[in-house]
Amino acid sequence: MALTREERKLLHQKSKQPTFGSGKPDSMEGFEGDVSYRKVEGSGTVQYLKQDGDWKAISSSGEMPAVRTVGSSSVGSSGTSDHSILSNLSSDDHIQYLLINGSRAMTGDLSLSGGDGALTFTADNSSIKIPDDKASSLVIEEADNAYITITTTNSSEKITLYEDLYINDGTDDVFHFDQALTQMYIYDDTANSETGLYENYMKIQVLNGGPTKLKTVDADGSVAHFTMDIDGDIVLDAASGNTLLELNGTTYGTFILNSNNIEFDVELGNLTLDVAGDIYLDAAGDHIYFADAGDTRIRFTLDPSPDLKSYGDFTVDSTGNIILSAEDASVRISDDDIVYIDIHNTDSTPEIDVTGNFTIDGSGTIDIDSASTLTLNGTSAVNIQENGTNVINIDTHRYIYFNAYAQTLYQQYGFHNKIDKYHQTSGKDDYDQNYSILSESIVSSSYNTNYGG
Amino acid sequence: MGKMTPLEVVKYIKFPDRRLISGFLTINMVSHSDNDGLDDANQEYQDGWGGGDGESETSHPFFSTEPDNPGRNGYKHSFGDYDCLLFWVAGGMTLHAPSFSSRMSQVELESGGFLSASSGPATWTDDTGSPNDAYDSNEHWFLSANVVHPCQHFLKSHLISRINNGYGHTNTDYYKIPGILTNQFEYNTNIEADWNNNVTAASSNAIPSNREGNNYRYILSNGVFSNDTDGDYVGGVAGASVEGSSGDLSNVSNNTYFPMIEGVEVYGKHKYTIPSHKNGLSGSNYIYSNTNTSVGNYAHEAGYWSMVIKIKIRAYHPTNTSGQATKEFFKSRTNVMFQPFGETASFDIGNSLHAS
Repeated sequence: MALTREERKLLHQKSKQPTFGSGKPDSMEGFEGDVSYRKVEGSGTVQYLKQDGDWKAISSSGEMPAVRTVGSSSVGSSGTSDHSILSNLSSDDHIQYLLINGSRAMTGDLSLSGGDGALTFTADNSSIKIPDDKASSLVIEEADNAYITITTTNSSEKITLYEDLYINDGTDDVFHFDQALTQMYIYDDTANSETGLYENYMKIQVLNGGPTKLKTVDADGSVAHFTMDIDGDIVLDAASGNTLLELNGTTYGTFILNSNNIEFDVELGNLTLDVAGDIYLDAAGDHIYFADAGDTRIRFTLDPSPDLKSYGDFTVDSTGNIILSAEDASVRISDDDIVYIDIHNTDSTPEIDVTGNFTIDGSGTIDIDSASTLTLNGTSAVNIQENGTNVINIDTHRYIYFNAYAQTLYQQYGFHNKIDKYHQTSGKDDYDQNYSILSESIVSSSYNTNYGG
Repeated sequence: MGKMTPLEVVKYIKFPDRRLISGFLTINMVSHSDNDGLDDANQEYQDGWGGGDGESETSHPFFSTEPDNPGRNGYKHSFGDYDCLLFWVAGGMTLHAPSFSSRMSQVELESGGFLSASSGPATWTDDTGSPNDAYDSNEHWFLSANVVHPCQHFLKSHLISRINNGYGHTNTDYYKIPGILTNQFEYNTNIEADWNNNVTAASSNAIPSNREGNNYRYILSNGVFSNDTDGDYVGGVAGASVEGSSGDLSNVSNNTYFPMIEGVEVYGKHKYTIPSHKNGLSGSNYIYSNTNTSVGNYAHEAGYWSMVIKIKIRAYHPTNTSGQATKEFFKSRTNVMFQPFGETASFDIGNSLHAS
C-alpha cells in the first residue's frame, strides 16, 4: 500500500531528526546535512554532521575525538548478549538508555512513530510540562509550519494558534474560528432540514480597519434572535461616541455620546416608546426639553414646582376631554410669572379670578348656560356690548344705560336709553296688549335766515 | 292778499292692516335753540320792521302791517315762541282688494265717449297714453260704478289740549294763529228719548246747559299761567308784581308771542294707483283699469298702510303773497311723540308713503 500524504510528511519530518548511536557513523549512513549524536569512548557524546559525504565531529561533551578513521558504529567486542550475566548494572553509567522510572532526562529529541496511543498517560493528573519564560516554550508544527505555539515568557504567557480552530461535538462542528477572516462561528447543532447544511449560526467578525460584526443567521426561516443575559452591567463603550441602530444595513437611530451629552438621533422614521408600564424621565438638571430640528419648543422644568414652557404657540388638541385637575388648589394662567387667571376652589364651587381686564372674544356664539342663577357682578360696572359698543351698562349706582346713553342729567333714572324713533315697546302678542313709544324730531329746513339779523 | 297755504311737515307711520290702536300724539314746536340769543319773533320783526326783510313782512300774520311793539326788546324771549299740542288718536285702517266687474268692450268704450272707434284701431278721446294714445285691446277697463274700492281708514284725532303764548294780539291788522278744530258730540241729557234725537247738528252757539249735537270748537290755546309772585317772570321779580309788566302771561294781552302750528291732520293712506281715462278732453266720466296700461300700471297694497301726521306750519313765500308758503318765519325744532296702545307694535316711521 502506498504511503499517505500524512505518512510521507511524518517520515520526512522524522528523517530530519538527529540519530543516536555509538562510535563514529559510517560514511555510508545518512544524507548530507544529517546530524547524529554518538557515544565515543574518551570523548563522551559527540555531535556529527554529514558533510561532503563524510561525518564530521562538530562538538563534544568531552574532548573532541582525534581525527581518525573509525570503523563500524558497533565496536567490535566479544561481549555477551545475556543481560542477566552483566555485572555492575546498577552503576548505570550507560547514559544512552532511558530509565524506566524517568529519572534521567532526555538530552535529545524524541521521535515517535505515532499511532493510536503513541503517547499515553495512565496516571491521574498527568501533565506535560514545558519550560518557563520561553518565547516558544512549546511549538506544535508541521514541517516547520507552526500550528500552535505556547509562550511562557513571564507576563506574556500565551498560546498561539496559527490555523483555524474547530470544536466538534462528536458529530458536527459547533464552533469554528477562521483565523484568516478573523471571524468565528458558533453553529446550531442541527442541520438545515432542507439543505442539510449547518447554516444557523452566530458569527463574530473583526475586519481589518473596519467594524466588528456580530451576526446571527437562522436559515431555517426562524428569527435568529440574539439575547444578552448578563449577570452584571451591559456597557456600550464607543470611542467615537456613536452607537447605531440599524435595520438590514440602514441606520435608523444613533446614540451619540460625548462627555456631557447623550443624544439619540432617529435618522429615519418615527420613534415610539411602547411601554407596558410607566415611563419616567428623571432629569436631575431640572429640565426636559422638546425640540424641533434643534429649536427648543417645549421645556419642562422639574423643580418642586414643575412647569411647562412653550417657545411659541401651544395647542392642546384632544379628540376627547381636556381636564385640568388641581387637587384642592388652583388652575392658573400666567404671563411672566404673573398670574392673570386663577381658577380655584376646584371642588363644587369653582371660581375664576382674573388680574386685569378680561375678555371672552368668540368668533361664534358664546353661551353661558346656568342651571341655576346667572350672576354678572361688576364692582364698578356691568357692560353688555354688541360689536364693541355698549348696549347695556349698569353703573355703581345701579342705573341702567342702554345704547351708550351719555347725556348729563341732574338726576339719573332707573333706565336710560339712547334711541332714535323707536323708544320702547311691550306687548303680549300681535293684536294683544301692545304699547309702544315712538318719536321723531324735525328741524326746519327752510326758514327766514334774516331772522334776528 | 290772504292767508297762504302753510308749509307742511309730513310723517308716515306704517301700520299692519286692521289693527286698532289709540294713543297720545304729542307735538312740540319751538323756536330753535340757535335763536336763544334773540328776542321772540314778534319783537324781532317789530324791531327790524322796514329794515329790508320785506319778504316775510308782506305775509301772514303781518300782511305788511307793522306789529305792535311787544315791549320785550332785549329779553331774548325766542323760547316763548312755541306751540304744544296733545292729541288723542284712535282708529286704524281696513284694507281689501278692490273689485272690478263688467269689463267694458270696445263698443262700450266708444259709446261712452272714451274711444274714437268701436272696432279696429282706435285712440283715447282724452288724448292720454304713452307712447301714444292708441287703444290696446289687452287692457281691461271698467266703469267707475263697477269698481269698488272698500279700503277705509278710521283714524280720528282729538285735540286734548294746546298751549302757546300767542292768543293775546290785539292789533286788528295782526292775524293770530288759526285754531285747531275739536268736536264734541253731546246729548243734552242722557235719557232714552235723547238717544233718538238728531245730534248731528252743530250747536256750539248754544249755552252749555242747552247744547246738544256737535259742539265743535277751534282751540287757539289752553292753559293757565301762574303769576304767583314766587315764580319768576318779567315783572314778577323778587315777589313783587310790576305794573304794566309784559311777563305776566295770565294777562291775555301779554300773550303776543308767535305760535307756529296752523293745523294738524291725522289720517290713513295706502298705496293705491289705478289707471284711468275720461270721456274726452273735458269729460267728467271716468273709467278705471286693474291692469298695466299705457296711462300707468295698477297697484294696490292690502297688507299695510301709513298713518299720516301732517303738521301745517305758519310760513311765507319770499315773493308771493298767496299760494303755497315755502319758508318758516324763523328756524324751529319740532318733537313728535306717538304712544300707540292696542293691537300692534309693528310700526315704521318714514318721510313718504310706504311702498314696501
